Amino acid sequence: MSKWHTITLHHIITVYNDIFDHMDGVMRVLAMKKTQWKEDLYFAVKFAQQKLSKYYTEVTPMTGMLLILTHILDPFWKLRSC
Amino acid sequence: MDINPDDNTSYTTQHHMAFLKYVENEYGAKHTRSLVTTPESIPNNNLIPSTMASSTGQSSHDRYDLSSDDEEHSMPNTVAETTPGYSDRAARLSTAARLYLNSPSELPQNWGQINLKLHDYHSDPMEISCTFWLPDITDWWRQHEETHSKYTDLSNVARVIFSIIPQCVGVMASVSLGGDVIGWGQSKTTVETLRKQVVGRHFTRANDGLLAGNDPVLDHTSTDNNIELRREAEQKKLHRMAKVHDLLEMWQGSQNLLAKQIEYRAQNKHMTAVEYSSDTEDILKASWSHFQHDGTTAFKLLEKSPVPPALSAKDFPGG
Repeated sequence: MSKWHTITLHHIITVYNDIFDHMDGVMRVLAMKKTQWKEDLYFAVKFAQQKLSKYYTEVTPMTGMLLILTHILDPFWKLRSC
Repeated sequence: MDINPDDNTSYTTQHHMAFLKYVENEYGAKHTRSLVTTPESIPNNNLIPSTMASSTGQSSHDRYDLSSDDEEHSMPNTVAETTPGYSDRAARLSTAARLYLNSPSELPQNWGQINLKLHDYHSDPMEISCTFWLPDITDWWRQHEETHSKYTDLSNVARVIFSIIPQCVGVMASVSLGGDVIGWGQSKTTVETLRKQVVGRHFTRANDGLLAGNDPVLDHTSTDNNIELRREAEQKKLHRMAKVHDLLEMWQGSQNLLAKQIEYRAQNKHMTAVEYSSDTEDILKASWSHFQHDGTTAFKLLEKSPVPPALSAKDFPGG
């Protein structure tokens, strides 16, 4: 997205949601695995999700309304996944 | 207008209500008191062409509401409602917003905008994903304003909101401005420390480094990332110097080899002239005086040859 030359503000929530969904999917797949490297990967993703959740909760109180407004004003998303 | 996580209603409903409230109160109340109907040409590189700006009732002299002060922000809505045209404008905005929210979202393929990346053979196909690729929404809003559609008033709201640069929003500012303060490795810099360093560094840059060196906290040259970058630069410099040193060493070796070759060539020439084989100089030095011509003596020696004379016919029996 850093290479784009257009508005990207309305993609912030979408990107956050996609990252969280991806992490949830990986953790769901690796939850019951017993191989060592898979367990390590599971805990790594888990801690990464906790860290990202911490940042996300600190971001949204300040700029959450702006991000929501931009997301709604995107005619291709509107209130979907918002 | 805040989103309450404890609220039992769905987030979608809360977002719906928050958006309507924002459009009606914030935008409508702040912009109704500066209605200007005089058209004014504004450069074409705006998000939405300005030729329509006057028709929407927004001030063409203060498009981004820069002249508004805190008094205007804290003004109660009842005051704004008393201004002429507020009810009409608020109603139109509210109607457009509700219409916009209730209508289904646009499909990119139905809108007709061509994804240029699909025809760009130099672009990385992995960058194109169904999640992140979406058409440029500025064209969508521009098109609706130019065609005087039902979203003409709402396009002004979009223009104001989308003109906000992501780098000035919360975490984006932290990443953009503090990216060179916090290193890529693990950093335990607190938010307050980061804020002080960023503010101090920008202040010193703006004032030609007046404070640089006086206060270690404000000295932007002593940040973690700068130290890391400086270390990398020194390593690159050392690597480059090592290359130059290697090149000089190779050149010196070549010079030594050349000197030895010259020395061996002279020595070899001397050896060939004295002992092993004659060369041109020896041939030139040899004169004909070494060959003494004996004249008739040579013929006499030939007559006294030990070879027996040839037999004649009378020497044979019966001959």
